[in-house]
Amino acid sequence: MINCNSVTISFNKQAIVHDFSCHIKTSEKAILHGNSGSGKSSIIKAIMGFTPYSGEISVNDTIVSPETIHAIRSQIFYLHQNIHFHEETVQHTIESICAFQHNSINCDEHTILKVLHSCFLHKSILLQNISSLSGGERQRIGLCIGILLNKPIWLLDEPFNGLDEDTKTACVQHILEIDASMIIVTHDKSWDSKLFTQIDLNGSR
Amino acid sequence: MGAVDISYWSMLWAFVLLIPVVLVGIYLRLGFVTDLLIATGRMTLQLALVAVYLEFLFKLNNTWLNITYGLLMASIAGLAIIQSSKISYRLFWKSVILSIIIPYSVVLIFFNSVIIQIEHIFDAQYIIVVGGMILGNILGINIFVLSSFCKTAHTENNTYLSMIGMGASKTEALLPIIVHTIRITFMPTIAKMATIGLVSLPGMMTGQILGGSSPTIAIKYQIAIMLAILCSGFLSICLQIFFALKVAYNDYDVLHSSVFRKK
Repeated sequence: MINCNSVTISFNKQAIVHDFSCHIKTSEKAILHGNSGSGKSSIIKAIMGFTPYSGEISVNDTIVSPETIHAIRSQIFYLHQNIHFHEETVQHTIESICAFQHNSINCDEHTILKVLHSCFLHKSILLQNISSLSGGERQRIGLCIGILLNKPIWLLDEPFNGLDEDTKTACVQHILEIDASMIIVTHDKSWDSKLFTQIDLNGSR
Repeated sequence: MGAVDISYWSMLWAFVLLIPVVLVGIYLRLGFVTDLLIATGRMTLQLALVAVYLEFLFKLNNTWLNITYGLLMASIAGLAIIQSSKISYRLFWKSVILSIIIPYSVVLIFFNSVIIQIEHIFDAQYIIVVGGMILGNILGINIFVLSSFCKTAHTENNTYLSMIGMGASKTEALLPIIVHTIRITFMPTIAKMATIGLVSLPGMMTGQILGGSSPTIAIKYQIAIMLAILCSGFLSICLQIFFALKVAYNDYDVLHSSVFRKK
């Protein structure tokens, strides 16, 4: 599903990721570990085409390139670290994201409420402005959007940083039930190693 | 009936008006007296040069020379916009000049051929004077468009990438920024139009009335020119943003790191 072949990512002529390779199969869920500054986030940014790299990355046997990037992105749900939204109410944000041309999904209020509930969010949050939410609430709104969009590939960058342990455990459980290939970047060691493939950025897997 | 000529000696009296500003400036140590004198010198020199070449252009009244002059002025306006916006010359020079030349030419030709219906639409009197007003206003409106757009695109880049990650196209992800930029840069033009004539008489009308036109003719011209400014300014803002979406982002729809000039 996702192949990284000898990927090197540099900033200011200094390689922060050197000769990285991995293969993620369909429906496989992988945790990308590494110390701060080890380039974890850069790898999923490279898959999204956000950062330049050398080597080869392919998604569903399609090599990432300017010609293919839009088709590749349309299969991916990418949750940015410290997720940001435009200043709007939660409801308007969710509706406008669902209406993007590549998504075009019908999200009626009933479906949205069901998904909010599954992520431990109260329906009153819909009328709040995104900017008034806490970091943890924003991340869970991001997770809700991911569930609604239902893409076959998920790339999550430190997705549950701001959450308390109970909510985090419940969200991780939720993630496991989703049928998608995932790469999850985290420095949190608490993700169960039996349930997720572990990738160490130093190459041992 | 034309305007009364001002003799060169009488022009000196105009400069007497500077004296109170300079004296109070020095007394209160306002710190701008040198700048003021330099600015006055520049203004006088620049306008004296304009007088020389306008006399020349009006005398020749050659179509190609007039067109070249118009295009040259549009290009200078474009470079002035990039200069004050602190954005990259290499990325933006073509798009900025095009987004001035297109609305400038279209609106000016429409103004000369359809509204005032002159026979020779590239006549120096109209292309340079009316064109100059259109261009001056495009410059004034556009000076903030690119700096505002690029700054917001830069500060909101995380939001942009978040939206791309959730399936947005480049335009969909940037739409709120596009709308915001058009609104804040175009609203002053609407506000200015709503109050015109209430307090001040626009410069063009003043000039025409001094030149001997009746106030009615002057006002007809003023209304037409306001609408021409409105239309060309708006088209220019939209084109600037339309082109910026292409040139400020790379093949992967990621904002170029070199959008701003290094100091």
